[in-house]
Amino acid sequence: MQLLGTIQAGFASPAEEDAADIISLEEFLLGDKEASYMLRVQGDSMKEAGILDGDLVVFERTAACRPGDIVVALIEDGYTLKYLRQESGRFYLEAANPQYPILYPKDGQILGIVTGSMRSYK
Amino acid sequence: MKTHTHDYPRAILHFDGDSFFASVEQALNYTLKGKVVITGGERGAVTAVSVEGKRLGLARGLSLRDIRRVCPQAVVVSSDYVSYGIFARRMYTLVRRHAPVVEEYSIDECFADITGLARPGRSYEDIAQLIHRELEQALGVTFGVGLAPSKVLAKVASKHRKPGGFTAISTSEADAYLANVQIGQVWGIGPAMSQTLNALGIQTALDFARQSPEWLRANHISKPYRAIWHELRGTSVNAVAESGATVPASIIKSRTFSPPTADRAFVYSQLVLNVEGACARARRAGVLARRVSFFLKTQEFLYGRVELDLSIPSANPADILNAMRPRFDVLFKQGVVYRATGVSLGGLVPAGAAPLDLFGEAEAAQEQLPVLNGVDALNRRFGAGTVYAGSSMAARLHKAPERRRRAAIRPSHLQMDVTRRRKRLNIPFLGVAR
Repeated sequence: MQLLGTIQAGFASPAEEDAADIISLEEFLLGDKEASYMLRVQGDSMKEAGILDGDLVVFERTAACRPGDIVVALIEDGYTLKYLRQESGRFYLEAANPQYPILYPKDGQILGIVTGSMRSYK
Repeated sequence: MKTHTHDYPRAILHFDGDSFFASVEQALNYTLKGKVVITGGERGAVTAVSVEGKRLGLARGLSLRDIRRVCPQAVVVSSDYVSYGIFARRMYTLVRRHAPVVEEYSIDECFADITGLARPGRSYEDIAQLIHRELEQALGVTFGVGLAPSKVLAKVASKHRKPGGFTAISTSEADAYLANVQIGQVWGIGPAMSQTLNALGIQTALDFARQSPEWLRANHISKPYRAIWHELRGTSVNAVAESGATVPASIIKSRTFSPPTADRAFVYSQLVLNVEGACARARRAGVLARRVSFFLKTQEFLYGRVELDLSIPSANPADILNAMRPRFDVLFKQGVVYRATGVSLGGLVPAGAAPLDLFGEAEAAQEQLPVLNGVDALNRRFGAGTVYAGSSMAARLHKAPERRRRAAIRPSHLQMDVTRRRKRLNIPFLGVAR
């Protein structure tokens, strides 16, 4: 897939072919390809991060999660996507929607980080 | 950790996925974690028992009926070879990042040779444990891992501390481990040889390793077993054979079609399409299949599977379809609605190495080769699907309307959409996240 430069919403801008580069959707969406998995988003807990109900997200199973990352955690009622935050040494999970409560994950519940998301408008 | 390279004249790693099929099912479906999971059962045969089941004493040899009786809470899932294949390829690729030579021994095992890669501050043990961590992290499946100076000892090591364990056996430490390994448990020693050796007073692997070359000669121990004897003593005889690009373990092609159908001719044409695809891939890899299995999956996700041996190794769809046709007629049930077919080519051998048969069939098959090479050339030049068997036409022509229909009534087919994309990208789909 050819990347034709950034576009500004509002005005059409001429695509700059010179600056173009070839990237694959895979490279764009994935971290480590061999550690990547997909999930379908349900609900609006991450809507202010631009992740909406029905989106497909790709995540990488990794232990290298830092505060500020959007992480995938496996809690009692299934997978959840949340921001990883840290306050005075303690980690917690925060939704991108003020209507959701803060979660305190237990050891081993954080599986990895979200590396990309997809939404089809077809 | 120590690094004494003289402990490892060769440094060979063995990776063995714990209850691999069942563990993959648990990695794909978190609700199965911590439960007794049994895979297989399509023909009453169990292909894997999860770690939880093994703790209860369940094993692969048991029948499904026995397992259900002993452990009614066991969850039985049908084998999903496409997913196991994805996880296996991921395992090989992850190991290859650290090891120059990797032998893809089977769908849940591989060997790697890392001789010469140890550095001050980075021992062979460190490298083994680094790969071990990365595998378990990336796949969510545990592995038994062994490090030793030979393949046979590396197998002893990986089995020593299962599940999820790592064991290093250097030449000088081997005896202590081998004293606790029955001779019949050594890789490459089957029941018959085990009995023969028992009769000669050999009970453990150590008993065998301690014999002299004269003893081996006097008792007519043949070459493969002399190789095992060397390997048990820490001398590598069977090199790790790089297998990645040369001979794949199996070639699998499967397709789900929508809508599901009870139309016999259409289901058959889908199967033909898979056979053609698998054969094209086999010819590209320069291999012939000795075994073929195929399945039909019903709308209720029940599998019917048939496995058959080919009288001569082949990568020719016509040969394979000839062998399959009568079995398909038995497997296909009138009035049952099917949603997928698939084929797996196994027992793969390099195309040049196929032994000739007694009845001249191989000769007839050879004559077909120029035709197939021509088919492959046309498909490369003008795009896949330019030339194909007439019997797969219904399936091929079906593609276009299928896409249009899905666009029109998309919401109900979302799941379908995901399945197709997942298979193309080889990224497992794990379900919903909130």
